[in-house]
Amino acid sequence: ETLRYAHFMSANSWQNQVIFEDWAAAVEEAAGEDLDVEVYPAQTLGKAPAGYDNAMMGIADIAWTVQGYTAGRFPLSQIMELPGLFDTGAVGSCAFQKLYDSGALDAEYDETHVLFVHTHDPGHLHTADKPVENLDDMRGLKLRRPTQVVGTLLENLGAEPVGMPAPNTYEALQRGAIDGYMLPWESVESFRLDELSGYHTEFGFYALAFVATMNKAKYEGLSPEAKAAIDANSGMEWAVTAGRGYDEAGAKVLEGLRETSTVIELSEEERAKWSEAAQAASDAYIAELDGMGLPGTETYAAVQGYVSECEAELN
Amino acid sequence: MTPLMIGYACIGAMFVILILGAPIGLAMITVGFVGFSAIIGMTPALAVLKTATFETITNYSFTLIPLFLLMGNLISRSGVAADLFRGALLLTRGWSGGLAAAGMTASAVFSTVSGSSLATASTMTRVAYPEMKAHGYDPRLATGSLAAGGTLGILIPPSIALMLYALITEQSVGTMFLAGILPGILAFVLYIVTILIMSRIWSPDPEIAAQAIASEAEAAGPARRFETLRLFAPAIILFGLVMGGLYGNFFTPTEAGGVGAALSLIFALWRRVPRAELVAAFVETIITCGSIFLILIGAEVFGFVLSTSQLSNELVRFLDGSGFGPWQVLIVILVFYVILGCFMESLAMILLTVPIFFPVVLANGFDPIWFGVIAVVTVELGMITPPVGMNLFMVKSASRDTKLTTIMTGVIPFVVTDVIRLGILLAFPAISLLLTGRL
Amino acid sequence: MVIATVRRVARVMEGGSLILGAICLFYMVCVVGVNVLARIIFDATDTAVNLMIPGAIEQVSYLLGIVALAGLTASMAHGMIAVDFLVARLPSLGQALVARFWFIGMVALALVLTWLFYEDMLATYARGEDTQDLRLPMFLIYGLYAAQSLALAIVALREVLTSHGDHGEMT
Ligand code: NA
Ligand code: NA
Repeated sequence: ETLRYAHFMSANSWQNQVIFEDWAAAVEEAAGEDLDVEVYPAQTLGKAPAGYDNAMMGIADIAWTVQGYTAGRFPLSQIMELPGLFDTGAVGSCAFQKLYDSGALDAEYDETHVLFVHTHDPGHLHTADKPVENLDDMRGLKLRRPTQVVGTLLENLGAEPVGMPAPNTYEALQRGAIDGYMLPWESVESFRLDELSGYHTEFGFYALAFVATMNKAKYEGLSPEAKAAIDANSGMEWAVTAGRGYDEAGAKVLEGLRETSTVIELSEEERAKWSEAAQAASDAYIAELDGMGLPGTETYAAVQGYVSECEAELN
Repeated sequence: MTPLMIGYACIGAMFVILILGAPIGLAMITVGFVGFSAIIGMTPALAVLKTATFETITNYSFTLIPLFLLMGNLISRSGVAADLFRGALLLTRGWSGGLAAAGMTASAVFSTVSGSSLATASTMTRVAYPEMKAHGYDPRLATGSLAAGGTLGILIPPSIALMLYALITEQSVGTMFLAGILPGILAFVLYIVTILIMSRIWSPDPEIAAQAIASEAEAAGPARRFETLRLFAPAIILFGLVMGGLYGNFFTPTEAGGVGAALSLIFALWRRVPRAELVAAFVETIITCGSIFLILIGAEVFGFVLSTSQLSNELVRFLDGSGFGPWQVLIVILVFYVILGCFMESLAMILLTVPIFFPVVLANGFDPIWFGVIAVVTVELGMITPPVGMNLFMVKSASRDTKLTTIMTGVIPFVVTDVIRLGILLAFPAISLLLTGRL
Repeated sequence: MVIATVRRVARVMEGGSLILGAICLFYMVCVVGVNVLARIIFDATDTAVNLMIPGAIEQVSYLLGIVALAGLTASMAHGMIAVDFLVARLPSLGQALVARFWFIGMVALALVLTWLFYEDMLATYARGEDTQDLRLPMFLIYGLYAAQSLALAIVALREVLTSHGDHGEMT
C-alpha cells in the first residue's frame, strides 16, 4: 500500500528531510513490506491552504498544514499562536501535543486521523531598513502578519498589519509595500528574505500551530501491522522532532544573520511594555473564545501547565 | 495499471482528444479527473475539481491577469494606435517601405502598453493597412509585416505570455518582464531590417504611390520631428509610470497592473472614449479572463496527475539515462513547440506544456528565466506560422479584402527572421539575462 | 419550449455575470490603484494620513474568483478555445456536434462545482470560518461561487442545445 504525504515546503528544505522523509523511512521500516510512503513536497499534491481538506477528502493520504491558514476552523488550537507562551519549538510542540493528547482539541479534528501536532520556535520581527528598538518605532510600520491572531497583536503594538500569502512577502518587502514581516528565524532564510532584511527585533511574537494528519478511511483500512507502524510513529516523539528541527535550523540562521545584519535585543524595560501589549492581545483572543462558548480560559491555562511540564522534561 | 502507465495514458489521451477538437481547458480537466480517479479514486478526484478551481480563481498572484488585460484593452480602444502610426510616419518618411516601417515602429510602441499579440496585430492593422493600401504597397509586405509586428506585443513588457510563464513556474514576474526587453528590441530591429530588404523585392506600385504622395504633400505641411514625441507621449508615459514604478520599487507587479489599468481608464476618460467602447473593453477583458482561467484550472487539475503518476520525475530520469545532452533535450522541446505552434494558440500552449517540460529544463541546468524567453519566442513563432496562426487571422479580419494565402506568403520573410533571432537568443543568453542581473 | 426557456434564463445569467464581473473588475482596479496611492501618501505624510484599504489583498483575491467565474460564464457563447484544425474540416453539423458534446462536459463540471461549493458553504457556515483580514464569513463567498457555478451550468446547457461550434480566441 502506498501512502501519499503532501506538504508545502520545498524539496531541498530541511523540513522535507527531517519531518517528512525521515518519518517515511521510519514508518516503512516499522511496517516492513506493507507500506510505501511517497512524500510530495512543494504543493505538488495540493495547495497549502487546502491541506487539511485534502487529507480529509483523500486527495492526499497524509497532509501537513498550518491550522491558522483557515481562520476560525481551529480556534482552540490557535491558542498555541499566542505570544509569550514558550521559548523554543521543542517545548511548544511538546505542550501542543500534550494538549492534543488530553482530548481537549478532539472536536476540531474529528474528520481526520491526527498523527502529531507541533509548533515552530517563536517568530520575531524583521524589517528592511527601519530598526525597531521600542514601541514608538512600531508606530505606523506596515507589517505582513502571519495569521489573524497575530494581526490583532500588531494593532495593539501600533503597527499596520497587512495580510498576504507568505510567498508574496519577498516582492512586497522589496517594493516597499511592507516595511517588515514576522517569521521564525529559519523561515527568514527559506524565503530568501535575509537578502532584504537589515534589522531583526527579537521578541517572541507568535508561533504557528502545525498538524500532520491522515485520511480517516485510509487509516481505518490499513492492515493491523501497517496501523501499528503508523501508531508507533504518531504523537510526542515526532512532535518534538519537528519542533526541535525548527530550533536547530533557526539557531544556524540566526548565527548567519548576526554577521550580515543587525539583531536588536530589547531592553528589560522595553520588553515589559511589549509583553503587556502582547498579553492584552492574548486576553482579547481568549475572551473571544469564551464568548463563543469555547473553553478558552481553561485551555490557555492548560497550555501554560503543559509548557512548565515540558520545560522540565526536555531541559 | 501502475500510476506511471496511467500518466502516460493520460498524456496520450489528452493529445488525441485535443486533435479531435476538445476545448483545451476542458480536455485537461477531463483527463486530469479521469487520471486522478484511476490513480487515487473517484471521490478525491471530484474534490480535486473543486479545490483546483477555488485555489486557482482566488490566487492573489493571478490578479495581474485581468488587470494587465484591461490596461491593454482600454488602450486599444482609446485611439492611441492612430497617433502612434502618425508619429512613426514622421520618422520613417522617405524610406523605401516607410509605411511598413512606421507600422512596425507603432506596433513596438503599442506593445509597451499592450500585453497581447492579437490586440497589437488587430489594432495596428486597422490603422496602418488602409494607408499602405492607398500607397500601393504590395499586400504581402503590408499584411505580413503587421502580423509579425503583433508578436512584439508578447515580448516587450507588459506581456501576458511572459506573465503566465512566470506565474506557473513561480518565477518573479518583474524579472521575467525585464528579460523580455532586449529580445523585444532585437526583434524590432530585425523586423525593420527585414522590411527594408523586402520593400525592394515586393516594392509598391509606383503609380499609385506617386499619386498618394503628391496629394499628401499638398495636404500636410513640413514634417515636424518633435511632433513624433507628442504622439508617442501617452504610451511612453504610461509605460514609464508602470515600469518605472515597478523597477523603482514603488509597487509590486500586481500593483503595477492595477496602476496601469487605472491610468488607462483615466486616459480613456480624458480622451472621451465613447461609453460603449469602455464597456466593450471591460466585457472583452472579462471574457478573455474566463477563457484563460478555464485553462489555468485545467493545468492545475492536470498537475495532480503529473505529480501522482510521477511522470515528471520519470521524464527527467528517462532523458538523463538516454544519453541526450542538455542542448539536444532543449532542441527537441523547441522543435515540439514549433510543430505544436502550427496548430495551437500560444497562451494555451504555454499553460499546457510548461508544467511538463519545466522540470526537465531545470534538471538540465538551464536558467528558468532564460528558458521563459526562449519558450515565449518559440511559441510566438506559432502565432504567425500557417495553418493556424492567430495573428494571421487577426490581420485577415482587420483587412477584409486580403486573401489569407497572401498574408501567409507575406509573413514568410518574418518567420525566417524569427528563426534567426531564436538562434541568436539561444547562442547568447546574455541578451535575455543582462537586465535581470542573473549573469 | 424547453429550449426557449433555457435561452431566456441563460440570457439573464450571461447579462448578470457580465454586470457583476464588470463591477468587480472596476472595484478591483480601484482597490489596487487607490491602495498604491494611499500607501505613497501614508509614507509621505509620515503615517499621519492613513487612507490604506484594509484587507486589500484579500478583497482582490476573492473578487478575482467572482471575475473569473463570471468570465467563464460570459465566454461560453463565444466557444471554448480548442485546436480546430481537424474539426474545421468537418461539415457544419459535425462541428456543432463536437462543440455540443464538449459543452455537456462543461455542464457536468459546472454542476459538480455548484454542488461542492454549496457543500462548502454549509460546512463553513457550521464551523463559523472567516476570512483572515476582514473576517467576512466564508460561507458567503462559497455561496456566491456556488450560485455563479449554477449560472455557468445553465449557460453551458444552452450551448449544448444550440451551439453551432464557434471557437473562442485568446489574446
Ligand atoms: Na507588451
Ligand atoms: Na501557428
